[in-house]
Amino acid sequence: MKEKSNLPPSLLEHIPWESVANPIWPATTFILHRNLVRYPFPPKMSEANFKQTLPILSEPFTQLPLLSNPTFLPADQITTFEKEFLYEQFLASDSLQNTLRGQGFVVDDSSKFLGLLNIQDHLQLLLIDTQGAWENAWNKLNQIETKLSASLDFAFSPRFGYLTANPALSGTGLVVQAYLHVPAIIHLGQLPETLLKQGDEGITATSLGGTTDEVIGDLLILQNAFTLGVTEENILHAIHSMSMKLMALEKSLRSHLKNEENPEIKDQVCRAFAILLHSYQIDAKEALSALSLMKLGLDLGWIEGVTDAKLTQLLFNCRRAHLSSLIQEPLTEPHEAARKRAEFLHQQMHGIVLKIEAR
Amino acid sequence: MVERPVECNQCKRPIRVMYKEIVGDLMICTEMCGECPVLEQKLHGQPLSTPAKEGLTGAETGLCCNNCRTTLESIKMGNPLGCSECYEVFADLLLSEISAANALPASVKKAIAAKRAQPLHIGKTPQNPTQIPSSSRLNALNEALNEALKKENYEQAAWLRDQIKDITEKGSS
Repeated sequence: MKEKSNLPPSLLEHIPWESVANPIWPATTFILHRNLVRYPFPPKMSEANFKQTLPILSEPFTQLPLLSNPTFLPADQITTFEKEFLYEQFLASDSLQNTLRGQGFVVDDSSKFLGLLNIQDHLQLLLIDTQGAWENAWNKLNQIETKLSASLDFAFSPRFGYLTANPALSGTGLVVQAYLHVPAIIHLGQLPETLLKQGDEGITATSLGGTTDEVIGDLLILQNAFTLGVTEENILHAIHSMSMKLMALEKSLRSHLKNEENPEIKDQVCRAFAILLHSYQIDAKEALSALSLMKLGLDLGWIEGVTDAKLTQLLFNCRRAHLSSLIQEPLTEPHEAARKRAEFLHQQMHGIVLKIEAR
Repeated sequence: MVERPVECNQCKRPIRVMYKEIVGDLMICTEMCGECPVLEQKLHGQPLSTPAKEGLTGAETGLCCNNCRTTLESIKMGNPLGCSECYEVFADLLLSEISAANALPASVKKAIAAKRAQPLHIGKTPQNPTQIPSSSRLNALNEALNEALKKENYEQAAWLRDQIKDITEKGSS
């Protein structure tokens, strides 16, 4: 972006997935929902309530030693593009573009923490883990919440637990989302059967498009279905256990693909390569699908000249706000964004070689 | 990750209306379904939850939170709760709504149906912060391994065993 950004430089420089530890399980997000006991919840707050609560909510973050250089960003002082950047960076579930005066965000230099203030609930504390160290990530988020509770009186009842604006999130108020890149399961048509067989009543599967009918970028999202009637440990255990089962299946299917001829998958990888190399314009959805197949092709030895880490970075960076930040140009028009994305991907494809030959 | 949400920002129905507001140099886009009450608010300037409007519905249904004026009707429509007191006023309704949304474990649902006195919330409390033990990851892996062996998926079991070995070795070194 040519104009000076209102976001801290560390946020633009360090993206969470620049050092993803596990190519199949690139990220997990942990979100804790909390409300103040003395004020109406945000959906019922008056303008005066918003004005009153924002400093009460933002102030304790500045004194948190668990965060590195925390920065408070009032929603009315950052652009819609910057809000989209936050939405993309932290894999947020809901758009942040409609946030206004009286709402805000807290970020820190780790680029892995996002505090959402007066949006849906008074507080949503989000931590993203890309290192596979999910116990550490959860324990850190838990500590942040515990420290904040020393100065903020959170709404709690012994029966319903932590009280949230959406009653389906009451109890622990914890939502965990594991992002799994499972192209083999999806392209071999095994997803519906797998979800049925491996299914756990405590887990729901979704995707970036909000459904498993079409899994954009072959990124399957596993999320806890319950927040009430379970402990935090139950939630984390169920997500981890299901993720490991799906990872084992994905590994096993990839190993079969390596050893057995599968012309359909080979064709899809070849087409993905051509799309990334020759498109004049490409939308985010198509780019994600093609990059996903490139990741699969690389693992199967059909593609050379690139690392999985670079493809994972491209997978997350080709979305509009991150792309705009990388090429330092505002991409407001969809066609312009699609054209610039194609141009960007052409440059990134330099040196990548397809090893599959047509017979 | 798609560049435009495909669902109403409010209720998750398919989008029918895109409402753009220009405030100073800021353009705010709101995507809404055709029946969205937010659309009515944007077009006619009437706040969503004015006491008068809520009071009318409340009078019709008879139950209303005295603190924030949230009504029974409003909750039945899937609107968010207004304050902590709503949980006391609408406790029974909330339980049935949460249960209907499949957001309660089967064991808890059964206990509620049998009117057994089982606590609903069993997680962290303000007085009792929790920590996840480091053995949690191993437990999850062992569970996945046992299931793979039970289904005779030996290839998957081998991979899971390698993961367990990795963690155990890292832990002991």
